[in-house]
Amino acid sequence: MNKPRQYDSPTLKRIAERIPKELSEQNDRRMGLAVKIAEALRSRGLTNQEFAFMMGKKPSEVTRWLSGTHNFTTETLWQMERVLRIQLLTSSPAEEHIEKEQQELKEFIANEVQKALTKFMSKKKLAV
Amino acid sequence: MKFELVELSRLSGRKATVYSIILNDDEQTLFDKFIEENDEQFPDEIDSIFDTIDKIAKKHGNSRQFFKENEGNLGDLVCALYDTPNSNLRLYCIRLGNALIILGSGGHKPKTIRALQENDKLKDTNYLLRKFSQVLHQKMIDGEIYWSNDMELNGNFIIDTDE
Repeated sequence: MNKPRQYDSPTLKRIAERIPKELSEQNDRRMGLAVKIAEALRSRGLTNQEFAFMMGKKPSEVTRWLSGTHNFTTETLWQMERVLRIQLLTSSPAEEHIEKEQQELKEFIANEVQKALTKFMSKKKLAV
Repeated sequence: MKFELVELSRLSGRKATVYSIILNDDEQTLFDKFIEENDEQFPDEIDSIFDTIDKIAKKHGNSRQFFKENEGNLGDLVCALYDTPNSNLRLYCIRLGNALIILGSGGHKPKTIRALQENDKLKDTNYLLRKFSQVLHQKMIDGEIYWSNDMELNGNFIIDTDE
């Protein structure tokens, strides 16, 4: 008993080496979006049919969106962002931007606490 | 009829293991033959199909959403890779959970037909995969092929049938 034999061939090698970079990037983006939408539906407990209802579309259209082969229009992605409360477009408020703001806020609070502590300690010293 | 299940090392990745089938004493897999039969006429579709499988196995996962299910008999897991709206090619496969995909063959699907039975090539390739699914199912029931702890298949992958 063992694992299946490993197989490769000149045919598979030839195709792997010739795939245009643009096609690969487009495919990657489409599939990535499809996975992100599917995960959002799953985490919200929505079926394809319920999502189709919320978007005002047919369930078959949602199936096509999730297949990773669909070229979305910006309008459709905006609508999905509104309905699912997720970020799909890079021009929407970016998660990194929110993270940066949070980091700046943390640093500001730490700085203020430090200043207050220093002030308190110096007053205490004067009192002594 | 003899089937051998082989792992396509070039396509397999951390998200899924990709297999295909060698029929009788052929040197090539069904997937290799599918490419060679259609590459001259539909090179862009071949590139797209190959890249999609590559991305499924290495990055995005073998999720159900990427496959058109119920392309075979009830419960035999035969499905097809989704084609792009203007595509002409249909590749049949078996999706076994999130970790495993077995590529069969397929062919040109004219937009004028609805059922695969209306096209001899599609019918032959689809029914061959249905047959394979049936014998694989039996081998799993008999314990001759089974899942390993690393979510890959183990067992005897050369399957002889009476036909």
